[in-house]
Amino acid sequence: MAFAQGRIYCEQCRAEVEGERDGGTLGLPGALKQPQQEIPGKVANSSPTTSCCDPCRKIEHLTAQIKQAKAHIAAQMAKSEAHITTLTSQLCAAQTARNALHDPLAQRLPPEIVSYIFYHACPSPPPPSLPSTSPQRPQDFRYLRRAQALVLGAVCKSWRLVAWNTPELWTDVSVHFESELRTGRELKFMEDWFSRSGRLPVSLRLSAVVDYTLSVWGIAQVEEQRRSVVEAISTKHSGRLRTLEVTIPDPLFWDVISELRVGPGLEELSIHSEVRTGAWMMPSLLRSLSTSAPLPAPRTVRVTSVPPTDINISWKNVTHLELQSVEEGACFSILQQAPYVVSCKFLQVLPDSAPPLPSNASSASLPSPIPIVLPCLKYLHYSNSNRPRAFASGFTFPALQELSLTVDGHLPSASLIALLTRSDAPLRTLELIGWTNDDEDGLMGLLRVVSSLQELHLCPSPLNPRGVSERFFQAFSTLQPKSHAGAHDQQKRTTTFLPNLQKLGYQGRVTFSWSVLRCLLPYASSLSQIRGGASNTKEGDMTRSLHTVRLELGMHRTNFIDKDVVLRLLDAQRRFGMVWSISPASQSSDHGMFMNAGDSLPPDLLLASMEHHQIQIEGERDG
Amino acid sequence: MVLLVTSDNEQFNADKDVVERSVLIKNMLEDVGESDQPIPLPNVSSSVLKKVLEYCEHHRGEPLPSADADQSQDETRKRTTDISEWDQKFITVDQEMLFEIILAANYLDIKSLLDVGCKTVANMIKGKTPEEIRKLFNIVNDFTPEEEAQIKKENEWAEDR
Repeated sequence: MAFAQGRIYCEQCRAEVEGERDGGTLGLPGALKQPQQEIPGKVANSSPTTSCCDPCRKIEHLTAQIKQAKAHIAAQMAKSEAHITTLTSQLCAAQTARNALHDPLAQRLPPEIVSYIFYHACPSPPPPSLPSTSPQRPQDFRYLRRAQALVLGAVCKSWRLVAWNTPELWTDVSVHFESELRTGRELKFMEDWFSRSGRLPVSLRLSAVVDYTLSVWGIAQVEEQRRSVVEAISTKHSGRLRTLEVTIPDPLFWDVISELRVGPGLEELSIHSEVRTGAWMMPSLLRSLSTSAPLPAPRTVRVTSVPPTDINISWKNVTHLELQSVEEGACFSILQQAPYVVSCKFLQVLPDSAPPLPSNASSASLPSPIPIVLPCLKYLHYSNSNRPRAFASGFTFPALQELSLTVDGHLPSASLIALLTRSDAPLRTLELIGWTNDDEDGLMGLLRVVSSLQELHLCPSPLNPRGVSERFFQAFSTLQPKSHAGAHDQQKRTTTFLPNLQKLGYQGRVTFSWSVLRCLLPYASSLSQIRGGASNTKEGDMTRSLHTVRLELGMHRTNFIDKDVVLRLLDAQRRFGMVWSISPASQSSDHGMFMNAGDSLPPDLLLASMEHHQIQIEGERDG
Repeated sequence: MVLLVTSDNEQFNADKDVVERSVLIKNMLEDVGESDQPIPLPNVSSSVLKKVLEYCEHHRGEPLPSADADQSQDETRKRTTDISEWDQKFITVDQEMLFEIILAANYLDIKSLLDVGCKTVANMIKGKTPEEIRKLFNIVNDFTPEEEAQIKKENEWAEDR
């Protein structure tokens, strides 16, 4: 549509405006005609005279006013913000001044004393000898230490200053790789912690999660960032690493970790993979600081699902070893390289993926034909082995005090007898778990060679047809009278079955009558009654050291203990302080599952039997 | 007997083997030799010295930590936060007295008493939030908003691991 010559049009909306042409005021509201469309390419000198229509003028006016008001407010706000900033800093200064008067720690005590208090306010590390599964070992103590250090630094400025200048608070560094967005931050915080820890030895925990949402580019970026963290540790801090714990969720992290350099000062190493990794897909882990530097030789090593033979350390100083989900050949190999090992746990041992070649036998994948002597080994836990015979015949443990063996099959009684006889060790604790075969002769033979035993725990597999039968309990009835002790004590005691036993635990089927429990009682009358003969010794004349009996029994129905047996057990409890615990095996029990009749079974069978037989303890009756 | 004079000019007579739990006094006695001269303790008030002497009296005869004690022994002493039953009862005092005892133990160089005092304060702090600690010691938060933001970030970082 064309503009007509001599007419006035609105500059904003192009509508024709009625009114004077030469600057006269346009009435409001102006009368508008049809809005005109702009014609592209129309030359300027041919355009008609334009002005603003009333509504557009008003809009313009109001917009300008709003803009002005906003600018005014912004200026006022900036002024107010500056004022608030000034006030805030004055407030902080006043608060600091107030703290200077009232804070009893940072202001009254010398900084080194405050540091000492802060040091004690953080949880202490458990002794390294404590097994990682021990209930006394708080699993999260490092987290608690880090959290407490941060709390101390978040109280006030003076506390923060002291906390940040107490290196002992910052020796537990943790880097957790989550995604590419956070990794940059990891590096900064890690550097902060390393810097605050001064020159002290440091415990470092590296962990990561798999981010399945990442693209290929994202994965590459994450790996690059992880690599930069590892490089920073390797180049700047590796000499200070005393404890290193690496938890690896994905194989991508392997390459990164293989670059990690560790100094010879490393004392504790834990490497856990969430995915079992075969040797073929893994690079050699950890590097020493330089080729001329000695290999790290930690004293405590814990490894899960990683071939330990691929970890580039020296095993000669290891005293505490824990290998989980590792092939049996690797376990043997490491054991042969650790002559000073004191405590050893091989958990969920896996069968070897490939049988070793005969020419390889001397290369330590299998025990050599001459048993290897480990003179310091005191505690050995070995579980889920498919070759316990090979294990039992490959070593000699002359100092062994505690043996826990979980077998996945037959009890290798002959090999164990040979091992224990050969070792002649002062074995105090024996735990046998999970054997499936009915080999009572073997079990009894094994127990007869460990007369030093103080604690015994037996837990046959639920698949075991018999478990422990009456014969086992009856063996305890061979007891030497006290009066015979003395010069010939040792000789007499050898005829006693497990003469030093103090604690007995059994978890399994009930394949015995309750009356055999009297064999475990510490005095003679009970024995003579069982045998049906007369006793020529007074009651209480004979004794054995057994004081605690715990039975966890797989039962199909409530089977109350016979009344006369209950009375005997209570009598032993009262007179000798003997502890009896008889309960149905829980379905969630660690070592097996029994078909219990659900929750209807009483948790304490002795107590339930007392109630069933209406037996009251004397003190209670008097009361 | 040794005569001690406190900051508020009170005099205390104590057995030599009691006061010698303080390394400072022990060294002073060794320096001056046999003398009846009173030992001035300008940094210790009478009420505090009374408590300190009560502690030294109770622990009289116990072996003193030697200067050349082996490092592991010292580490063990440092690591444990256990306080004996008697010491716990002894140190159950108001906050003002507790800090005075710590200062006195530090000045008089009585390591075991300093340990008891410091571990007691540490146990008061353990497991508390910054706000609870502020309340306990009558402290106010004097961080700037920027510092607060930094603390928050660092706490978030440390929280997940």
